[in-house]
Amino acid sequence: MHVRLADEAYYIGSSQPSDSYLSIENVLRAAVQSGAQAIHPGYGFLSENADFAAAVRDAGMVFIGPPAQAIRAMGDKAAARKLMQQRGVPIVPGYQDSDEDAALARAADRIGYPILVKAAAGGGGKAMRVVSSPAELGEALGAARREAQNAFGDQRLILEKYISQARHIEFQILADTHGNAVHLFERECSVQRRHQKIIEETPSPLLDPQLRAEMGAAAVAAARAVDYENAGTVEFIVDPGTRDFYFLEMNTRLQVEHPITEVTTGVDLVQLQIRIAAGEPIPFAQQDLTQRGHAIECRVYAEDPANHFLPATGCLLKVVEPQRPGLRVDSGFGTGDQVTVYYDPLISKVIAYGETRAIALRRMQVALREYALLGVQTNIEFLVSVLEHPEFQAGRVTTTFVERELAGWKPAAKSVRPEALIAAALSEMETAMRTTVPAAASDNDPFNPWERGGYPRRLTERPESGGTGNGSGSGKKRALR
Amino acid sequence: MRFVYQTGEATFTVEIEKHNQGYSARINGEDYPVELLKSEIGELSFAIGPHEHLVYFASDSSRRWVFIKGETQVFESSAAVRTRRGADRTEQGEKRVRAPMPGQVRAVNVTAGELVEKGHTLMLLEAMKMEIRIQATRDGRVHRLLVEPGQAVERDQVLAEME
Repeated sequence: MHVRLADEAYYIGSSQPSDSYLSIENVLRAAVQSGAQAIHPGYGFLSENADFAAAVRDAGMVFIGPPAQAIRAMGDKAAARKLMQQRGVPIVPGYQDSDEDAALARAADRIGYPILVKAAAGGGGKAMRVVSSPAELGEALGAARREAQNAFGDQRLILEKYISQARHIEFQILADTHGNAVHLFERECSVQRRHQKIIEETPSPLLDPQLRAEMGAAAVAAARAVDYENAGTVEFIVDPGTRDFYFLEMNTRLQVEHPITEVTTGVDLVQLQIRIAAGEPIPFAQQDLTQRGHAIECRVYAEDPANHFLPATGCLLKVVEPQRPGLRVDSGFGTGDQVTVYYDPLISKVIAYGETRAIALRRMQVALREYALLGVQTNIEFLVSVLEHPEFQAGRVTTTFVERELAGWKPAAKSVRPEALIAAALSEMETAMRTTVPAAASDNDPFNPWERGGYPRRLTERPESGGTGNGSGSGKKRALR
Repeated sequence: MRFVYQTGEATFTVEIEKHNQGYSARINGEDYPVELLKSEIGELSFAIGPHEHLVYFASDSSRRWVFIKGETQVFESSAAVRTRRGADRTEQGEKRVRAPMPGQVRAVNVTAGELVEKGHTLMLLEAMKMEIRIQATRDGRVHRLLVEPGQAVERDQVLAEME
């Protein structure tokens, strides 16, 4: 999709990400070849790789993102936790001092199970494991190390107390090269499966103005602690009972869910990223920013929600995106595109906006019902089930909601309507007819109804404006004589 | 023309005839007059009496997807269903260990002939940066390993056979 949209495209290597999108050398070579002045790293792949940021700058180009040392400081979860502690930003109880299995096991016993194993270099839910007993720790550490090595090229792990009833609320921040830093309010991302967000919204139904202001100030303090520049996100978990919040990590890049912030604040984050990278100051102050209305994002994945959300692959044979007021669809795939095993199975993001949460929610429900994605299994029906759930409707969802409330989810049994069967049969007949048409329509007769569209639009029209459908050959002969 | 569609366990037969004024369809002995309003690649609209329907559709060699009224129906052609049924019958039940998703074999932890317990991790599969364990489906000896580390596998591909 991005290749089709681009004015120029350069080959950066094979489908194996390690040979292309994760290859600093290949990406830089393409950048130099194209004469680019700057590189926007997107999200995923090298976007949080400090060596890449440094290499881009060493090559004389601008990296549209934070300085390498800020990525390094936040990317190392162990060091970041220590730094936040020093700056008075509250952190989750955990362990980050040693990567030895024995030391991790002792720390896990001390902190108490269940415990969360995370990659020290990680993010995005990759290489993350919840371990509920000491017996499972060994294998979980092994698997997490391999995943961490593969995803981030760094196998070190840290531990965190697993807070099971938690809300995931993050703050968007922007900082420029002139010492200005602001936050653009929160995004609540508590609906997760396999520790990955699937639905995000803003404002958070949990926050009130006071807690919002406190967390926003903590987010700005976190960014300032590492001399941050450009766009970033400070993630917190919030205990809904006590309303205490803890620093989780900072994502030193644009987030997948950034559109909901854009539509509620009216700020184009990517444009500002580029302007900040070009040395411009942020064109507004904290007090100039307000949240207007409510926005929800649903991530549409190629996966099977009834089978552990395992990724699905295949060809998207037909895609029709919903188009409505208050709707934005950011997609990476269109009709004819292949969903492969090499990349994240995120097909698109549907963003619905409304003056109130209820309106945004309703618009999202309509949008998902109008979204046709044929050929590959998707999570659309599952997303609809989440949106319809009373707990989601009430805005009370915590990060364990999916496994707790929707475990064993199956798509609703559909009754097969006669019109669906008629549609199937008609589509087969029409397709069969269409494939026989081109051979007959090989002349240059401008009035030949079989030419252009290949088939008249209305079959019930009179013979002079189209065929009666009783054989294309006879219809054509009449037109010629 | 007669079309047979299968979805899940249910089989449906649609008879559809074309005549000058449009189509007529017959399902379960009931007749439906169908007026085709628009026909494009992957898109149809038609009316049954006063009710208009917009439909998106697609097909591959064995399945046909129909999106109508916010629902996606997947039909298998009866020929495809027959082949699949046949394959099921000859399958050696739980002796075969299959890939639950398409991906790449990361590691193979056992050798042919090794004695394992049910649930033992035989190999690791990875797709889209997610790692999953492939476990023994029963107690017993690993009869054959059919894949090697680094190999790409399709969903449902047989990875190993147990004795």
